[in-house]
Amino acid sequence: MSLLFLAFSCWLTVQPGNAATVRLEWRIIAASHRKGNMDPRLRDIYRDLGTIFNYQSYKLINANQIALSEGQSASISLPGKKQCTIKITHVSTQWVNVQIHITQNGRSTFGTTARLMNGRTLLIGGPSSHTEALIFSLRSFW
Amino acid sequence: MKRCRKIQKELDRYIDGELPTENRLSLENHLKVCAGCRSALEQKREERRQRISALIPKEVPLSTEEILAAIEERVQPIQSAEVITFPTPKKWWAKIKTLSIRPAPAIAFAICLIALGLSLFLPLGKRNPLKEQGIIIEQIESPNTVMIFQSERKDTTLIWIVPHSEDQEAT
Repeated sequence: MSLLFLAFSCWLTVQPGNAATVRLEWRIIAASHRKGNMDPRLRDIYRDLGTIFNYQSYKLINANQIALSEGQSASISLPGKKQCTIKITHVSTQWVNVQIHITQNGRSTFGTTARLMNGRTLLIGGPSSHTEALIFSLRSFW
Repeated sequence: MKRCRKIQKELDRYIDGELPTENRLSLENHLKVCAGCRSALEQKREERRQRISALIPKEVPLSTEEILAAIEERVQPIQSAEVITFPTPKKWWAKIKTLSIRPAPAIAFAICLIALGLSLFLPLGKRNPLKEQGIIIEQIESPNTVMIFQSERKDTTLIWIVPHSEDQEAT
């Protein structure tokens, strides 16, 4: 009986997710209707980009990885004097809750709360000019 | 001296030819250089000859054929041949038949056990809706219209911000 209680208390204390660190990979991608090549660094999402968009070429402008725990946030500078703030609001074994805010000159232009599963990619793009658009890509790992 | 005592203990076996080759060669090498042990060997051989010669030969009253006949008389003939055959070991499936277990309930029980095991380890009927949905967009705040797309494999989700006609600018 005491062994059972000990095992149960261990299970309670070792619940994953509370102190888990989520690794986020973000990328800023320039998409263009002008003829060009696919950036080899975007090979992993090339097929998905192709099914969603009809742009002729894609180029990786900037990319990085950050590690955040629940409650932590990070800020990323975007082209066009914009700022993207990413905050982890909840981490569980199956998904992570992410808050994304895009601001320009201190004014919020876009915000979303998404539930990302391990390895999934969230793309935020637009508004676009006639020929080009910027796409912000976020993928989570833990 | 100690070596000679050890050698002389083995002289009887040496005379009888019972020493291993290695020991025999070692003994013979010692005899070449030790007069005392050579003398002891000769003495032992002489004693043997004398013992053998002291034996009085005795005639065996029966010939070999007579001895064999006497043995045959003493051996009891087998009146009725009792053939003892050892059973061949049964194959395992034959052994199952001898068990006092009815096959139908046993098979049903086995099937239940297998089904229980499969249901525990295989995700039969257990589909993870989260996995199928990919990314879940819980909330969007935008002054612009947004469109949400998802790739075929559902592992990539796109939120596309559609500009207002009077507010077109590149992000």
